[in-house]
Amino acid sequence: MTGNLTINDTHRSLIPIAEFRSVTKWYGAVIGVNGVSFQLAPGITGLLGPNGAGKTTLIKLLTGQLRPNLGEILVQGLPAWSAAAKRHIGYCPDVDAVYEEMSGRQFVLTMALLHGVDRSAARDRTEAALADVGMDDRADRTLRGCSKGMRQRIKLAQSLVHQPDLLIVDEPLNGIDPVGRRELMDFFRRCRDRGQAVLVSSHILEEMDALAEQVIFMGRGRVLAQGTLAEIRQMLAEHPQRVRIRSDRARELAGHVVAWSQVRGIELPVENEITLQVQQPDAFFRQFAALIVERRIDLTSVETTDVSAEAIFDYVMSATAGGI
Amino acid sequence: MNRPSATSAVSVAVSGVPANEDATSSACSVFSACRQLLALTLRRQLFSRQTLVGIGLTVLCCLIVLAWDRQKEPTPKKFAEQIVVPIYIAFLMPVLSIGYGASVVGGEREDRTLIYLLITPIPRSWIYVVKYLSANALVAGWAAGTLVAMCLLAGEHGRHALQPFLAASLLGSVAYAGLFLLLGTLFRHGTVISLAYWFFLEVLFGNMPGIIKRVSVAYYVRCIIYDAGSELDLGPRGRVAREMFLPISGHAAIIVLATSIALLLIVGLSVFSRREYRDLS
Repeated sequence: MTGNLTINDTHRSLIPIAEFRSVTKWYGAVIGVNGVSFQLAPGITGLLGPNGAGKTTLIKLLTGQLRPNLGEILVQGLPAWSAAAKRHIGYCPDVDAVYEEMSGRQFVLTMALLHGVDRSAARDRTEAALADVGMDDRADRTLRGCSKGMRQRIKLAQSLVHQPDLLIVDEPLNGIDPVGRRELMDFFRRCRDRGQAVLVSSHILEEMDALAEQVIFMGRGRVLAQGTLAEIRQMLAEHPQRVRIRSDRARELAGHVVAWSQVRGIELPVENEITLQVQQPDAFFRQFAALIVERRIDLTSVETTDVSAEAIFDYVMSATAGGI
Repeated sequence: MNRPSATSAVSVAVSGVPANEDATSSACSVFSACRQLLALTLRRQLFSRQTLVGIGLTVLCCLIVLAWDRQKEPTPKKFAEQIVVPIYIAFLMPVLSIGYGASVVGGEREDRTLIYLLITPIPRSWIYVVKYLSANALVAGWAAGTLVAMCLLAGEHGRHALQPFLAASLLGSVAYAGLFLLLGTLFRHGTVISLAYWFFLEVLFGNMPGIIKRVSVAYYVRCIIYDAGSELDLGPRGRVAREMFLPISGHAAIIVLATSIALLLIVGLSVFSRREYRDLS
């Protein structure tokens, strides 16, 4: 493998709401994104990557703020730059900019009207959107006097007030307290349940573990990998995965598995526990299941310790740097 | 919440709504959004620092007129030459135009709220036209109103001077507003660039002898005034003065300003429709 990691998964069978086709964008001599191709289907997609990876450029391209130098970006079959495509897009920017002099309710209503929603429907949708983000009882305060969390919710409400098919949210969890984060994550899940595609850009990888059904890893302007975290992990099967097993017969287990081809290393850090470095985890777990049934071994716990987004991101970055 | 009423080809095919009906509905909603944008822009501009500055300068100009009117022998010619041209044409009109023209897009860009307009389904060219109309309405309305107030405060002499100045004032303020709107669209710090432009091209070059002043809007405004105010004996008199100013006819000046206004609108539309604003998020 020399570049993008691609996956044949269930998402491919769904009709894409947005599609990047070999998109390249450069700023003078600097490449923002390079040959990016992927599709967004209904559901929550996490956009991950370090600073300078190209996430912001990708979002600006998708929201029609930038035009690609090469390739094309389609939203519901329409070029993302076109005004018509923007009916299908809701965007919550990461910058803390709003019409400061307005109340939250006025701001959301204004955005509904600017999207061409007629006034009576706009009022209903404003109330529904504010209720959706938990701001219906606090939206009459002037935005200038609102906390960052409240402003973030109001920005989210404006992004969905015209009921878009695709919701793009840039770094929504920055500066939000844990309770707020949980509520926002629930909000994204509700959007998914309504059939919307949600693209969430974030540096907070742990939340993506719990939130995103699919992730897009970006690095150096390229999509390094796309798929579910488990699928990406499976794709990187050659990279050893750590499996921690607790059992009263841990040493006996170690004796059995040490000869298996998938097991690259064994540690016995404490009594009744072994940690294995495993390649091709599917094959390993099939063989392991057969072993414990055959030998009637009771297990206290089995866990993989490095399938978090953070660990996978490190894998993807190191793998692509090494040209896997 | 209800699911979106998507306007894609797929949804149209499924719902059976004819394509032309869908297009009409879409155009209506864009038109309605433009009306909302116009109201929003006018409201935000009116309740802004620019308005406070405009009120302050207008009151100051009116006080100057009242003070001028107390002199022994006021005449319409004196009023025009001592008050309207130096204070109104050369100062108040461009400053009002910079205040509203440069900030109508430039202010939203600096506040980073422009992003909220660019993500709406209003075509960019329509956004620019709405911004252009609102800037022109404010600048021309304010400029004309101030001119009328100043002329009325100056009594009989002022009323004589009003007619030759009104058309020039309207044309000049619209040209300035279009120019400064373009500068605000082009540059991140449009107000500063506009002030620099006004000072160097309008004030310095506009008062230099020879044809270099023909790059300034103020020159053509003065030509219209001098032509229309010939009854008041306005404008450069004598061979030397005329050779220094090199006036053109009022008719030619109107054509130049009208052409400039149209060109500025076309260039602004083209720039705003294609420009990628990378500094908004």
